[in-house]
Amino acid sequence: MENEKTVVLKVEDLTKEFAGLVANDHINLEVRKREIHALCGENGAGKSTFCKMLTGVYHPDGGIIYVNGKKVSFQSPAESLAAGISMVYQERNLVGHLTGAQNICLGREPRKGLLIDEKEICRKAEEIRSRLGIDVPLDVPVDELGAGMQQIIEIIRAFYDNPSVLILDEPTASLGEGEVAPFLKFVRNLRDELGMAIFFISHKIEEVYEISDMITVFADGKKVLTAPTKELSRDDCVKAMIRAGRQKTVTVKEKDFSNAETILEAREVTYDNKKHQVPFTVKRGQAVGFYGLVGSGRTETMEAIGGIRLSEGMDVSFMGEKIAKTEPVQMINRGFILTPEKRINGAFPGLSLEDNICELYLDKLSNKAGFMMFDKMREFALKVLEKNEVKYTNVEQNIIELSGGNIQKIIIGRSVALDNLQLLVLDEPTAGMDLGAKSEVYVEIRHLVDEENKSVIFISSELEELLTTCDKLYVFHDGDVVAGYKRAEFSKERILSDAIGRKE
Amino acid sequence: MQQNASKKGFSLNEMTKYLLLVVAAVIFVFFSILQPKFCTVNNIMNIVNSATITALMAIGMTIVMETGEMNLAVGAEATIAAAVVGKLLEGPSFNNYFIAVLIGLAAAMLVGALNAFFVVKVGIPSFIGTIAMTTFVNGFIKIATGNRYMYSQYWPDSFSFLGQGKVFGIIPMPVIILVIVAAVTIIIQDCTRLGRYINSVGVSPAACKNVGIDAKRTVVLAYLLCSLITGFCGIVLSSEVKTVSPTLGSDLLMSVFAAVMMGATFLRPGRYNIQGTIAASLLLAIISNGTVSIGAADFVDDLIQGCIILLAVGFISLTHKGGLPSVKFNK
Repeated sequence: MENEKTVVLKVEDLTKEFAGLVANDHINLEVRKREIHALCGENGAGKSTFCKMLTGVYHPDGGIIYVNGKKVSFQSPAESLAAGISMVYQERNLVGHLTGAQNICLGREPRKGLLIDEKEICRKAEEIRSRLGIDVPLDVPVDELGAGMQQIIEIIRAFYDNPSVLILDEPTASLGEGEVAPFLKFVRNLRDELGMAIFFISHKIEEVYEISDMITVFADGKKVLTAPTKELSRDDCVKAMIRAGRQKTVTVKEKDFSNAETILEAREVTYDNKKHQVPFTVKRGQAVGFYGLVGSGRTETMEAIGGIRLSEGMDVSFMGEKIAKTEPVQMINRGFILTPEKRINGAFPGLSLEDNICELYLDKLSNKAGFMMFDKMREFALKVLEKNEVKYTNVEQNIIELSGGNIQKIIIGRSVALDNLQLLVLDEPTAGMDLGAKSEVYVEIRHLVDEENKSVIFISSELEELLTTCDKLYVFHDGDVVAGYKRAEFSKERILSDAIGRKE
Repeated sequence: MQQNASKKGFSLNEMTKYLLLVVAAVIFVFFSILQPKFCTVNNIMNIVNSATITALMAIGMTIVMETGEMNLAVGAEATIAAAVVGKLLEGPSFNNYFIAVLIGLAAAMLVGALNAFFVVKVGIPSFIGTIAMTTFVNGFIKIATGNRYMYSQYWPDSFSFLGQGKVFGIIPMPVIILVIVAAVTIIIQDCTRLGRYINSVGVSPAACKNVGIDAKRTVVLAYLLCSLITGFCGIVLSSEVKTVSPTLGSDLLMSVFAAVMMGATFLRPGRYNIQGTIAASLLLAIISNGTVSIGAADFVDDLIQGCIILLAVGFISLTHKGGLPSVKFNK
């Protein structure tokens, strides 16, 4: 048994500084054969820096890396690859029009004379595929594959050089809920069948506990702890991750909505020439969660109602009025605002914070001749920034310089400033955020519904956050609303099985 | 569900893939009916000849556009090569045509290298960088040609070989050149690492970086290859008409651009490709020859060409989510 568990990679006192800022402070760590080692920590805790030193992207300022007992020093990513460390990056690194096999060999195509040897590419890719024992089509352009398949092709590529250590950087971030489970099974297989040592970086605690053998927590560039997963409780793990007091707690009081005014009531929505049954109601002061797999219709339904997606007809009433054909501008004027799934689509990259905030209200912030009133704009912008506790250096700075969490705060903040806001629809507002930033979004949502008496629809792929934040929850499957639960009836198992379309 | 969607897209692609050739054939038949002289061996040779020059230059541009950059300096590259060859052979003292051509090509490649330097190293957006380069090179062209049509009695007979020579007494030399250049560049594009990297960099530069493909080097090579081809095209054109026009390249620029854009609707819709560029050059040549031969006013050709660019790019932007590399649509 001890033999099996030989240390594959070991680092001692690994340190990296950027312009005086310590990104990694004397990290000591080891990973063994046949081990999935989860690296947890908030954004900026030092996980990425750590991995980039292992892959040779960064050169450490101090410390030693041992691979299979040998001391190594990498000058470039190629040297790290040769030493047996392979990393699968968070973003997709596939070229869409090339087939899976061609992507796997991308950058190191075998040649016959001057020309690429396509047969050898297929053979090589097929060989790695069968060694990993996974079924994935290698002869179609990767554009035509789903996110999960694409992820697997990237991992097959990582195995091109027979690595002994595999680093997976948030591998499930881009996967739909239905794709995660088979993917995790695949990763487990890599460990059991091939005896791989795997670093698994993830923000999702659930996942970490499901798959890992060891957990290492990073915070502020330091390693906080390393412990076997079985011996570390979730609470302790989360506590270690968040720097003291950064995570705010969300409290949901029991409220009775039976007498509250109905803001939005939907029965049917038709888009893409298909009629969907979406019976749901949103009451004043209610936070309603929409849960479902990616593509289950949660986003599509709200986009159709908001007029962003073309709809062929709907049976929906908003503020007691029947609405049919909708236009985004008209819906915004009636107090319905949707913040889009991809944060950047809601912001104006390249413009200042001030412009980003005021863009929606230029009508009100300009005089009758159409000239903008700059002092009013500044005043308004500062008010929104302050009210939402945005961290910024200058109101004139470019919005893309801010972190995702702060951009989201601005997008929500300026939507909320709409005078007659009735219903705010947040589509995946916390995607890609760390726990601290996420919790601030939850607090903001509760503040809106409890104190300001507005209504919020919160669309998310993470059930956990909906369960903590919402008063009511609807589950989408295949375009339809398949179930609705009040807070008192929340049950994780039932909601999950609804979402994947299981009938009881 | 996913399977279905890809199948539907596949059959649509199959239908539109060869649309360009179908359109060319229809227009050809249309002109043949209107003007009997249109469909004669002589006129067809004319069409092929003018398509050849556009196609040669457009192949160069296609290679750069595949990397996701632009090259609007193709005209300047063609002209400077022709002007250098013309100038070198102008006097009685030097008449080695072969060496003159090599120096002309070197001049064009120098422009290509400068383009690459400013776009890749300095980071000027290629659209602007190559326009500025065009203006800069125009200065040198004016020095060489005196801003007039250049002709010299000392030019050796070999000067007109590339443009006016005939193989087997019937096939014009430029057509042979095009066939060779097309064959070589298509092989490079589809069967070599360079070609694969050129296309991959255009589609996803970030992915290339992360798998260790040197994207910058790839773009530089594309610019160099482009300038070599367009420079040669300029020499062939000046040889064909036995004069060097200071606007030889810039006169062609719009048709070349149109051919590349339209080519992206052919064979691999949504991606530039040399095969499509050649087919599109042929279509454009048929249209301009046809409008002249039925006696339409010369503005008709412009109107049609403008419409065609709009239609072709519009088609791509409506049917393909990502749009074309180097012409990113906000979708």
